[in-house]
Amino acid sequence: MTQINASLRAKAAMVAAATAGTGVAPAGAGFMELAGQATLKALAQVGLSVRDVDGVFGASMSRLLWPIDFAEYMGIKPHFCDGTQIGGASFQAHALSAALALEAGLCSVALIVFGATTRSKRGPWPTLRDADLFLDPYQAEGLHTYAMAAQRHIHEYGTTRDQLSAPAVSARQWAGLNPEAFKRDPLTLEAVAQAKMIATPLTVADCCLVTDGAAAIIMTRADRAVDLVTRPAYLLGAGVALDGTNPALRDTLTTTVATQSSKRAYAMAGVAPPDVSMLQLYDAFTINVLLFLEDLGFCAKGEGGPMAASGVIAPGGRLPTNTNGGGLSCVHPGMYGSFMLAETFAQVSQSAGGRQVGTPNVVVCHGNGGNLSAQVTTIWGSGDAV
Amino acid sequence: VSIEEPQTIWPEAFWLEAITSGTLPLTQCNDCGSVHFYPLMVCRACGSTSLSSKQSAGKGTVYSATQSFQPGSPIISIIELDEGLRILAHLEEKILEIGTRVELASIDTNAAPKVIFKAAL
Repeated sequence: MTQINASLRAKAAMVAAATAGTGVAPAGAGFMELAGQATLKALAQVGLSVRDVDGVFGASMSRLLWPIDFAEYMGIKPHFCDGTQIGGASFQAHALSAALALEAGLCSVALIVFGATTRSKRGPWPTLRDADLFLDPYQAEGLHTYAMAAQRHIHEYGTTRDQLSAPAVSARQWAGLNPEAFKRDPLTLEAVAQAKMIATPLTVADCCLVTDGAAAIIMTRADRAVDLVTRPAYLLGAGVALDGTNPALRDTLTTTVATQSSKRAYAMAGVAPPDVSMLQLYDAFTINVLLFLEDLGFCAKGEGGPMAASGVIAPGGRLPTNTNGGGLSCVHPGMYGSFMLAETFAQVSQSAGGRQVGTPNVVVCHGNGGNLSAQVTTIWGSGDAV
Repeated sequence: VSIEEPQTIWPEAFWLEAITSGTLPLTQCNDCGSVHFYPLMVCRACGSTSLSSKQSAGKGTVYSATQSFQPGSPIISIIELDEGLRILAHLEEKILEIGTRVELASIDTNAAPKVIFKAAL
């Protein structure tokens, strides 16, 4: 078995992060421009020019060869790039490869970037693959896998409608504290249950938003980070696990391979769930939050529903979760992972404004891609945690 | 675990021919005994390349199912076959209760083959 090498712990850090055009982009703004604006805003925070960027990381559903096209647009000549495309979790994976590249000296200023106009220029989702003889006839991937996972969770653990709704209500409470969040009007358990049914048992309120938006994150080596900002967010650990696209081939639909990605990340970081002060969990659907609370070790298997419903993940709770309002209430332009990194940086650097939660020292930022296919756990810490 | 030269027959073509004739073709691993539905050249469970084909009896239970309210509104399911593996299928009727006994109803071969199950008699 792989021996987790902790030598990457706290060797790289986020020093800046910015978003642009979240919700509905300004009229006429394109995805390239949104991503460009987020990049310039992030660089300005630390007094760097686009000419200082020599590592480009990102993925896009608008451009297959995203690092090439975005680097060209910004006049960046990368020494290193990673365009790994594993859905929404891509950006957590990019943070890991950025840390590797920075530590190895392959680049010195790493930009992780994403931008999309998924809401304002809504159209057919781009097809980034050839026809799949075994999946295409069934429409079983995407949201329907999440629906079938929720059905199993209800069946195996007695998860109730209100427990499933709890992450949506909590997300909306957080969104109320975030002027950038797309949906801020109060949401009740009853309203989630009575919303339009999309795929049994998921209603439209169990599903993430479809918005526009861009995010950019700047990472450097830790020794440089302390010269640039007073509160870098250090990458303490990261782990990856993949579980295919065909949901019939998985051992179970109620335990994701986040159990494996988180185990690897905890081992690298040298922390355990009780040390964690905040969670950013990829909430493409409400069921995700229940599954990830369990699979990342914050409660026993099957207890995700009661835990979410207890209020610990909501504002004022002991385990603040999805503090920007998440993909359910803040922003979700097809892929949400970059926005989770931006929120993690905002909280660790204590620049989250009205939704700032104290001084979070250890933040788990867990990305999910495809239909529970890709799980990437990243763990970030303040200087105190290092 | 057997590690042999890949078979010269392409399993996908073999599978397509079998399913188009109305059967559910399975592949069994000669080493670990695992049974698979989608064509493969290496056992996904143990890595062996020693495989043989068999046929499913077409009976099983609902592992999970969802009624989609997207256009077309199919009942999308994962069926656990009695042979011990799971496959994707559509259900002919609205059966959302996990554990319901089902059997093969038909295989729609108008486009990519689609397996359709119904409640067992």
